[in-house]
Amino acid sequence: MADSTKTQISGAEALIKSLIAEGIDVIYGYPGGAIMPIYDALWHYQDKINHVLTRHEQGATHAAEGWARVKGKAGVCFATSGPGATNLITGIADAIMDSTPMVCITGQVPKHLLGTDAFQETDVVGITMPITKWNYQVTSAAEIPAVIAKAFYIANTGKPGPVLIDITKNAQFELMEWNGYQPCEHVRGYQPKLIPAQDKLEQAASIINSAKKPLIIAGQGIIISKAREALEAFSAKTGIPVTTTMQGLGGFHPEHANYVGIPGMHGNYSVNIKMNECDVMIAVGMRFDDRVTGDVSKFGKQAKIIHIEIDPVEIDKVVKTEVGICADAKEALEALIPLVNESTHQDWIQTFKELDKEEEAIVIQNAIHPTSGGIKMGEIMHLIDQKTKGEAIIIPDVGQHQMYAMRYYTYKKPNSWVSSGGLGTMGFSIPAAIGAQMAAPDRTVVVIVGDGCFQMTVQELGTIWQNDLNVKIVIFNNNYLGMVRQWQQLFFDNRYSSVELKNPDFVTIAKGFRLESAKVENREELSAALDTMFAHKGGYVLEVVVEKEENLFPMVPSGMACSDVILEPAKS
Amino acid sequence: MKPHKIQFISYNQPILIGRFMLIFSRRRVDVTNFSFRKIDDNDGEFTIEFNAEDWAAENLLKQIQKQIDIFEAKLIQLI
Repeated sequence: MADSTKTQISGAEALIKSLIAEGIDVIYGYPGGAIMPIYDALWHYQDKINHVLTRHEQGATHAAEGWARVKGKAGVCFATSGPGATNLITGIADAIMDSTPMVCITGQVPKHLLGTDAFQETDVVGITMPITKWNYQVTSAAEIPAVIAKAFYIANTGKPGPVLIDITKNAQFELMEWNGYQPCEHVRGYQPKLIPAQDKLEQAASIINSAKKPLIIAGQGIIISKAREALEAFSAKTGIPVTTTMQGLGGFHPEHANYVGIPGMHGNYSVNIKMNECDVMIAVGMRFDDRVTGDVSKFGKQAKIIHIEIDPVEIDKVVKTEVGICADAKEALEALIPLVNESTHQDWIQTFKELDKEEEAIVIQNAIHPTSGGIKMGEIMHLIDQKTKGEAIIIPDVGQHQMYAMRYYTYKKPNSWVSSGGLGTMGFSIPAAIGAQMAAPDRTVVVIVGDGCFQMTVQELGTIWQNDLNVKIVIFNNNYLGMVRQWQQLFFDNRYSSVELKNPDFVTIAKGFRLESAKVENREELSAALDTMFAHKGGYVLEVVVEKEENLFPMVPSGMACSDVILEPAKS
Repeated sequence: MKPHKIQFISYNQPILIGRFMLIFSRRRVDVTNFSFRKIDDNDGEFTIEFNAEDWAAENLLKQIQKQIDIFEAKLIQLI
């Protein structure tokens, strides 16, 4: 390890010491020319920081995201300049959409070569301006500790998000005086800590206390602010039913009597209908994504909307609110609890249950207990749910399998659903699972991935093998880009345009990466194959051949109101 | 649509206007003018004039206020 008593150190070493001071013990990255001094400094601190060499920089960003989503604090990734930096873009965009804290460090050509089209030079600061919470280019070593402290403060506070710090090579080499590390506690003009306004809280409480058919929509803000207990206490006191958005899964106990399910395009039938019947809608830590609202011009028009959200821009952005409370979800809920009356809304909740019976009969039973045809995605998720008791970390990729993972697993713990919700990044799951497993080595981590997504970041199987990570990967293989195919069938008159995949032998691919692997084609073999996978110590790839043209319901057809949700294809 | 102006303080680097303009270009805002004035060695004053509905202008102000490195932003209705 480097001599800690010396005061003159390189900018590269100052970076590593700053990361250690921030409590970072794992970095995901990929070296290259413009970041070599940093990797050299890292070599001296191997006992303090584990660098995970991913197979592509995109993998590094998703791994850092997975780590951050489970840990609840910023993950870190490294990349070199030029193509290394541009390969981070998808992950950074993913992180800003899903409010994932992340600090990305990129190497850059020396200061004197900036703007000369030098080898592997690209303006990554310019490129990432719209997709970072903050970015900055460091050109002298002396700036590094304070800039890194600011980066972590910004990434982790308020509405979390990605920060990119671009460090020129001369700044990495230069010597500087190391005077210790000072964490950042204030950034001029930045106010991440917002106290809920008392008058707004009182207005909200008054509306809630007179509500007859209130509904809480809880989003990922509940997870981020660790507000689950407060939400459960608020719901228990007021008797108000709770729906959690896809990204809010695990933010409310799924077996709680007041839990009514999931809203949105493939959410629960009852919730979608009732969102357009409730008289008061209390939205907490969510942003009225179009996948939740459907046609926003027909969304919740009958309701008084109370919006609790830490990002002031989100309030009144999509829907007009009666009361906007700009605050941390946990603090706002805890402040509201003493102001609201004890109440029950059993008759109102019962109306959800009545509609649930229809969904159960028409959709759910067929999805999880099919008696004929090929293996269904829902039955796989139901079995995984039973075998892991709803306590695993589920990391779906993007598509039909993601929606089945959302619907047919009971997320009993927070930080258990790690999914690309906003950007919808195919290829997210396998690298994200690397970070998630390292963040929670004692928890079972299950990747749910389609055959299309699997092939987007398949190279990260090598990272799983090299780091001996206990990640279970279940491929739902229907030889289709299933969600696009479903839409082509339902809305484009069966014209299957470029959605059929002629796939490789996934078991051979996995074994090529030295991971244990198996393939299941028959329903009778499925349960035992899952048992074998879960019993195995280490990474495992299970390919399950599923029904080729299974369609996912309920569904809010694109452009329709949420209450236009359908349980089965329209007869016409 | 009404003419508005958002005025704010940031660092004394006129080139930052590019960063701030991204917010307006992404939302296809009808920008009609912009300016920069040096305040001191550290700070500069930026103004961006644009046409928008009142509610949209309010939301743009919040978006501007949310940016790191922007201080003391205010919205001024020009008529």
